[in-house]
Amino acid sequence: MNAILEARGVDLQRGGLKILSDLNISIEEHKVTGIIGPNGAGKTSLFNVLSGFMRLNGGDVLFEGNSIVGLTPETICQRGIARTFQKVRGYPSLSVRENVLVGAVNRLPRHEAATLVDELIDRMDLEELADQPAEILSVGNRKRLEVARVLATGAKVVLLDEVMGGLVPTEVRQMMTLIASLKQHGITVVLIEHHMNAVMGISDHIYVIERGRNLADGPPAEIASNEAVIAAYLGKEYTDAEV
Amino acid sequence: MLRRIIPIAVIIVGFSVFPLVTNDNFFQNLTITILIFATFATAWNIAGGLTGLFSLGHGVMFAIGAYGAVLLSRDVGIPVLVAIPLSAVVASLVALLIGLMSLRLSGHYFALATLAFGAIGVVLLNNFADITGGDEGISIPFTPDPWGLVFQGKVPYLFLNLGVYVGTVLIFIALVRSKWGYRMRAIREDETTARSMGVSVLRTKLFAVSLSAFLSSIAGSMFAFYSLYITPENTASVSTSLEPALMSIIGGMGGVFGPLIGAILITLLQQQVITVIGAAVPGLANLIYGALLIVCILLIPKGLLGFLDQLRLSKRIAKKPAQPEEIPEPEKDLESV
Repeated sequence: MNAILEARGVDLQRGGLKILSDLNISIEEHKVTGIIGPNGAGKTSLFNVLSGFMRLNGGDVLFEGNSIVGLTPETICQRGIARTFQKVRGYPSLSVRENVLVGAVNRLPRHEAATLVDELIDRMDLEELADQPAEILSVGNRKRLEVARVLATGAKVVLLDEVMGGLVPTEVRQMMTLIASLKQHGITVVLIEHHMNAVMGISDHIYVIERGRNLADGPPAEIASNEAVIAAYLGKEYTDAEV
Repeated sequence: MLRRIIPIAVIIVGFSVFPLVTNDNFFQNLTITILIFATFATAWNIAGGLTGLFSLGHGVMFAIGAYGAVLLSRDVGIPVLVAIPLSAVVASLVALLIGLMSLRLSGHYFALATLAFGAIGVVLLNNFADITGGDEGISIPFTPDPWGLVFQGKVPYLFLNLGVYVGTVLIFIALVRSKWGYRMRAIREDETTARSMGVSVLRTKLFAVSLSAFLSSIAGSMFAFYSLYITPENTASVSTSLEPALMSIIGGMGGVFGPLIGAILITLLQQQVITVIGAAVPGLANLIYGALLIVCILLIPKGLLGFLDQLRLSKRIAKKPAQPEEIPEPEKDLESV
């Protein structure tokens, strides 16, 4: 197994609350890894740790074999890990194109950045909106813009935090195709998602987190039939319905 | 690009033709004052409008330019044309120092910190009276010398300041289109997202404040050699610090020409207040600025230029025919758990 990103025994504590305890995950290169778990399990906090927005209290995070603990979010992004946010962020008064350009122009010469951005906007199906301010975009378009922004940074690993939340079924399918295509572009994807069919459909490996701890991990089919996961998160209806 | 070049050409032609049309001292004085403060406000706008660093201490940078150029040329004997950029470098360094102390603060806290640094500037200028002349300030002797930037008539001042303003605007435009400009605007819009996209926030902010200070200092030097009388009150005080912020807000922050529009409005208003009311009611001018600011923030939060931009945008949208939206069919199997 070729792990590009690893969390080893991560502890995260804020105030009197233990958010993550001895959490271990290992993200394989060029694969899609899903992270699921009930609300409040610590999924987004894990992303905050991996992207440098939260300092951990114990354990280690390794990217390409080197510890990235203590690095700032900007340095971690420059090294190759970029993320989206659960509550969509971005630059509301900048145009869609400019939103994407920020990440590209930060590291590439101007003309290369412009070419990359045009390509990304095209891939995300946002050409018609390219010159509109990002604030007027619908949820679906915003989520795709998030992905475009993340890709513009040239990241090797992208952490997608509920990019399918609030999307209508057609948009979910479009996003699934898009995420699957990232793998073909040599990008490693880590996905937090509550859309079970989506996450089961596109992930190569799934980690289940509950109360900040590892509950289970394995291929989607194995997770779907795991008794502990069904009890803690999926519920009986899901397994009865299909998979 | 043409969108940018046309206004610059209009400004150059407009301000150049003006002195030929009128010989009136009052109008020429007004125009020069507008240009000096438009330069100052454009410089402020690099930090305030472009990067979102709402500084209320830029008077210190203006004062460093004014006092620095005068003292370096008068007391040290450095030629004025060298003293001006030298003072600007000093202002940049001071801004870096202040920045390192205050840039980790954000929003109101940053504004308050800069206000405090502005107050410190006034105290220093008042108390180092041996060098700065204290609260009486410095009078620059009127001995016309083109290399000393003291001119006989007003027309050379007008062209000098027009040149400085246009130079500042060109720097601003180049900056907006550069990678630094993108970083600055990203930070203004959302610092967290900017960091997550690899933008070095502290470095970008330091660059913004030092460039802004450099250009503000040059505006200060221009003010000194035009007014020939500088005091802590007319250079470093809170009201001087407020002016570029006010001009940018009213004209339109973030844009290229907002500060010029603001400078024209505020300078005209100042003259009107002085002409109509005089000094009869002290503090009335500030009351009027305050009221104007409130009205602007409530009615046109993006400034006059931002408001016009929005009008244009809404007209364009209104012209487009509405397109029927695609309604996706509901699919049960994709429901979220």
